[in-house]
Amino acid sequence: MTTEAADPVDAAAIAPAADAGFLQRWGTEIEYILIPGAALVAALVLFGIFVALFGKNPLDLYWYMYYGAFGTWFSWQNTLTRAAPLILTALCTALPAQLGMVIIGGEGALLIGALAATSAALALQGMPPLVVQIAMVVAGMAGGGLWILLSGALRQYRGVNETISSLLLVYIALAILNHLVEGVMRDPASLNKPSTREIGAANMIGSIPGTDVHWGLVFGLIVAVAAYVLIYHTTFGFAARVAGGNIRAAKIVGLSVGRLILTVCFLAGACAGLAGMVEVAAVQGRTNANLAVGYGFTGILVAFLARQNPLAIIPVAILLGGINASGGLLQRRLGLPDASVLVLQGIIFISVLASDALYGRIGFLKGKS
Amino acid sequence: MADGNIGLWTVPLAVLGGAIRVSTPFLFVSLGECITERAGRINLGLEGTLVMGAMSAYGISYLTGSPWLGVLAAGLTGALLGALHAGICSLPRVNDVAVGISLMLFGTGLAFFLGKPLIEPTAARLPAIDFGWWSDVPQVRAALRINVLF
Repeated sequence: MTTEAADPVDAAAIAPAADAGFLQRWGTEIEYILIPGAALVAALVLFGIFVALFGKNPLDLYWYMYYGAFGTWFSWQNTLTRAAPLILTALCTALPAQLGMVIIGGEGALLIGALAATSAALALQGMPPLVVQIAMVVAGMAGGGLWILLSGALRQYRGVNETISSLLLVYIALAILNHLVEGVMRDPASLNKPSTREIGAANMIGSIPGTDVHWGLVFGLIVAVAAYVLIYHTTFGFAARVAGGNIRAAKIVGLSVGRLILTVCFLAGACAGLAGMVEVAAVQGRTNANLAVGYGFTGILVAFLARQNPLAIIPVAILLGGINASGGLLQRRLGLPDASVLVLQGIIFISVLASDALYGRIGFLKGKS
Repeated sequence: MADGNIGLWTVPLAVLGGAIRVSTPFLFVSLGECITERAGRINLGLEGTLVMGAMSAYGISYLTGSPWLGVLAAGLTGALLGALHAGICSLPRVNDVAVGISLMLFGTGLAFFLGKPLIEPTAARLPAIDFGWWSDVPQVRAALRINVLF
């Protein structure tokens, strides 16, 4: 476009054609922003109508949602704190998606990661905090990674549908967590809410200076950028995308698809396991059933909304974290049940998925020339 | 036996009744999934459908006083959610598995949203539904308090 601008007369003469060229070049990118954005707006309008049916003013609703999510510094901090695990669990869905696999077991990997990180911290009591924290990160990532690796291995060696197996593994993970927390790992002092022993205040990863936002957000940002580089700027990522595009072609050109599947599944699970470690080391301080609050499932929504792009996951996770954070305010000010956030998430998810049908069908974006 | 005391038989009877009672949801959910998969699709939203059905059944039978109307309402709700899933999936390039998860979120959320006013005033309202009406022996009634649909 810059060369055309250099010659104003020519630029004016060919303006319509240049415009079409612009759409041809950028039409796909515009679509990727416009369609999910429109789906999001449509979902908000639908939710507004839904709330209006119960006699609440939708405009109040939007205002409180904005205020509760992004209105003040306090709500920003709340939003960012909730966005951190969402970035990591969304990567658990987004990485295998490059291979054409739909993994929805982020919640399970998160729980196992949390359990592994807690075990590591409890085993290393008395060591310097930095050693304990590094051990927690390694244990959390390994635990979560192995958990999703199970799904990948079942798919690779036994042909089991990875979506179903990863979903079912969530329930197994929850059962293991409950079993251990109520059994051998139970802290005798936790009477009415079975928990493990605390990892100790010194071993917590703490907050970013000047804020209440914990370091998990930084972990999330680093991992998301690393995932982006891995997928779009390395041969490994290229191979994964080739295998995702056409698995037979990938085999013909000699890629070892099996190893790709297993590695990607491990990395994906490691991200969700890190989310579990962050929840333990920055928020809960111990493992109990409080960890299973649905970060894994909201992460799936984030990944689909971001169209499985690791960089797009960051703003989308912040947006969804904001919606979660505003739930409490909606409950207090408008008297809505706390499940209204769940309803809104469901509506957003449905409308974003349904909008997949629109790609390549919007006339003015095709850039006819 | 004459005075309604059935002694040790209570235990196997309770186990049997409990097994049947607990298995009912599995039976219906897997039946539904079987039918869906016959159509070549996977519906992962059955959790949401189940909770939504439970909520509407409870709500309708509480409001009308008839458990059978509740059953009807639950069936209709489930059919509507199933139709929603099928409708969205029939659009081009839409992933049926992902739509299922979204309906799981939506159904569960909606059930808690709509069901909250029904459970807020507790105690006095709950005993409205009782399926153990057909027997005279209290132990049998307690053990076989199965929903009559089975």
